[in-house]
Amino acid sequence: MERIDLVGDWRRVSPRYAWAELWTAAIWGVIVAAAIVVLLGLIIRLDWWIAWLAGGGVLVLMLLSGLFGFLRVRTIGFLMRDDDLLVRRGMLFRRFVSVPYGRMQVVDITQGPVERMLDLRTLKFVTAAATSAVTIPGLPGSDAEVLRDELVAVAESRRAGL
Amino acid sequence: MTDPILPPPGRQPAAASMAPPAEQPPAAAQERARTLVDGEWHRLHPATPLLRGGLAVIVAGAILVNSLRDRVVALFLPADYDYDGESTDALEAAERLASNGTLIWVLLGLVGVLALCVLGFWLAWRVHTFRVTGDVVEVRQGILFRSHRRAPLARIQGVNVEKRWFARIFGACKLEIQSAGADANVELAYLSNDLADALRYEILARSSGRSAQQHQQQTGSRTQRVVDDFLRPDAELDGVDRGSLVRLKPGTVVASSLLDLGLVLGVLLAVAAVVAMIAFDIPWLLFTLIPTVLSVVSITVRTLSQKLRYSIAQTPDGIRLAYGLLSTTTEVLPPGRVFSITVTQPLLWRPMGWWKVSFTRATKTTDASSGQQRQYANVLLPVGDRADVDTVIGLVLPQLRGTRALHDGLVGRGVADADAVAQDGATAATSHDGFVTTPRSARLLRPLSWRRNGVAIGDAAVLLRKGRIWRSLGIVPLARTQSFAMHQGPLEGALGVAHLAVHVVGNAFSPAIGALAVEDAQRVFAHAREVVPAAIGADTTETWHVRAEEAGEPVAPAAPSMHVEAAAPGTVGGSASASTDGMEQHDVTPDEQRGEPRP
Repeated sequence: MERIDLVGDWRRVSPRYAWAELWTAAIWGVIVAAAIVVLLGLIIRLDWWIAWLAGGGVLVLMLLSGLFGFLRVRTIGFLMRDDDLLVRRGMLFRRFVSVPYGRMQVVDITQGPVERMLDLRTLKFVTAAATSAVTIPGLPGSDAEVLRDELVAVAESRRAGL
Repeated sequence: MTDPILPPPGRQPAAASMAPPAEQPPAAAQERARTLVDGEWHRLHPATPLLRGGLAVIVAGAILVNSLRDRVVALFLPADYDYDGESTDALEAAERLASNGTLIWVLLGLVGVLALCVLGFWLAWRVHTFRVTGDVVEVRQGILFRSHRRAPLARIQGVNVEKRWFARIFGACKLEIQSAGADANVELAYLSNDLADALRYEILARSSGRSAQQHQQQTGSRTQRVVDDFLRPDAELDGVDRGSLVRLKPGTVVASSLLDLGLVLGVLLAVAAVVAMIAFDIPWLLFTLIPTVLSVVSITVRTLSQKLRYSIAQTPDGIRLAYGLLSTTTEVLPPGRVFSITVTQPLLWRPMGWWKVSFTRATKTTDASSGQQRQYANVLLPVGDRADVDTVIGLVLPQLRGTRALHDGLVGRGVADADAVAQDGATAATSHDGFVTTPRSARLLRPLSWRRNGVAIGDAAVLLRKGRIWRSLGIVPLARTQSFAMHQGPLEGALGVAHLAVHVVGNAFSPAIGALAVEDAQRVFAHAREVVPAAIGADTTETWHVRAEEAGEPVAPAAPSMHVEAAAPGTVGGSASASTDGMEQHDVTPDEQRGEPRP
């Protein structure tokens, strides 16, 4: 087993982000489970125990994947170097992306209801390529705004075309 | 005029040696074009409504009236009239109408409808105006649904002159100014031919920030009439540097089209179907065969007609692509507007040594009427041999032309020679030709091509080499890279490999290379992080004529030259090295100045 890795002074995201993932998974799990129970029990009219079993199974799977967030959140990190922003994420499926600052088109900051509850924000660095997909979730407090202003300032000094 | 395709040699002996004033429009048209770009609103070619579909509306209306004539006539007949659509003659009906006095009203109505149509077209033409100011081009149109589009000239991705065969009869053509993004083009349809050429020249001059001095050098005189346009559509190529011009030989085009694997399989299938039809006596098979054959033939003929007059050449304003037999399109891609290149070799072309070069651009157009051409326009070279490929890639990336890396990328098998592998087969993980390839331990993932499958980062571009049987080479200019990634899934982790992807504009799928050893992937990734930002910082293609000028004032006052000044730290000023001859003005990376050895 040989995994890719880059050593460096990685800035990690807030561990609270794992709770955000768990809550999101739980909420979606309940919604999907309820939909399955209604579908199987009321519309297809299977036995109720089958419906409850299927719904419960889905909920448990979603919660399990949410629990994995506690491991996953520790793999999310970013690194601002002189010329590029480096973002890593993923435990089993690892992904390292390097974006030169001059490639910034837009920086988005988003906050869903669960994230608002936990005072977290997600920062998205948008380039002209659709496949870049550079997101840094779980930035606590005003970190996201600070990081955004930092990125915009650096990008402004290195502006480039497409 | 004796040879319609090839211009007589020595017609412009001076032009070939000095800075080639390639896209010289006629002087008179150039004067008119200057008046067109004075920042005032101007109207388009008077035949525009007709060409833009007015004729189609009239024809459709006529067909509709013709087919519904009986019904229309019946509308005006008295209800008690026993109308039999089958046998009634139009004249008889008209007599009947005349007898009760309705005919005059019907005729008046027809005239009124026609007058309304003409008035509508005329109004549409009146309000359809455009203007070119120092830094933007604007188009206003529409009567009920007004639209006003404004595009900054500094953001131009390409300028297209499309001459449909129908429009060519009127000596008109469509000028399309392409910007990055989906349906972000500004269309000036229709303009007269020479005016469009001159206007394109002016627009490119403004977007490139060409100086007034350079501007003065490029004057010429040529009369271009409709007949001339039909006979000699590539007359403008006279002034183009012969070394950068690639044309396709008709024989090659026809042979390469016939050697399409799909076509060959289709023909074999059709033969098998005919044999089955005769042998098993099932005549209805013929009915399934005929439509297929018809569509295949029509597609082949259409692509053939585009390829047959294909040419690509270097001009001071960028790469000039021209194609089409009856409906021609001439396109100018300014430097730095090619985001990635793919060179492929279909299996059946391999014995002939032919290649195809395609590219991605930032413009996405979902034009329903010309979707075919849009798709086709992503090809730099439909078919060509190694020398042609070399020339065409040299147009986009001059640093790559004739290099060992390009040669190895196209035909290299990953090792310098077969003996070398036999000797140190165990340590053949990194190959001998500068490409980082799949390690021996992971050859299960690329059973045939593991020696070839690899990546190399050159001075100007990333080369992604793939395929032993279906050879392909992806080339991404370093200065056009948006971002790049290194991935590894659990299975790849178990095998000790990873894959790399380069993210570019206009590609739904990123050029990527898989099955690289972990340490190799990390090394390449780290190397890319050094060279890509440097290349981006040194890139000056935004205003490609500015960098050649130290003192000269740009024509367009608002042409942004900040990109030149705002080079990233650590880059060697790219503006100093650019030559003034107007030919070698492409991505200038710092590496180019070190003087790379070219075998």
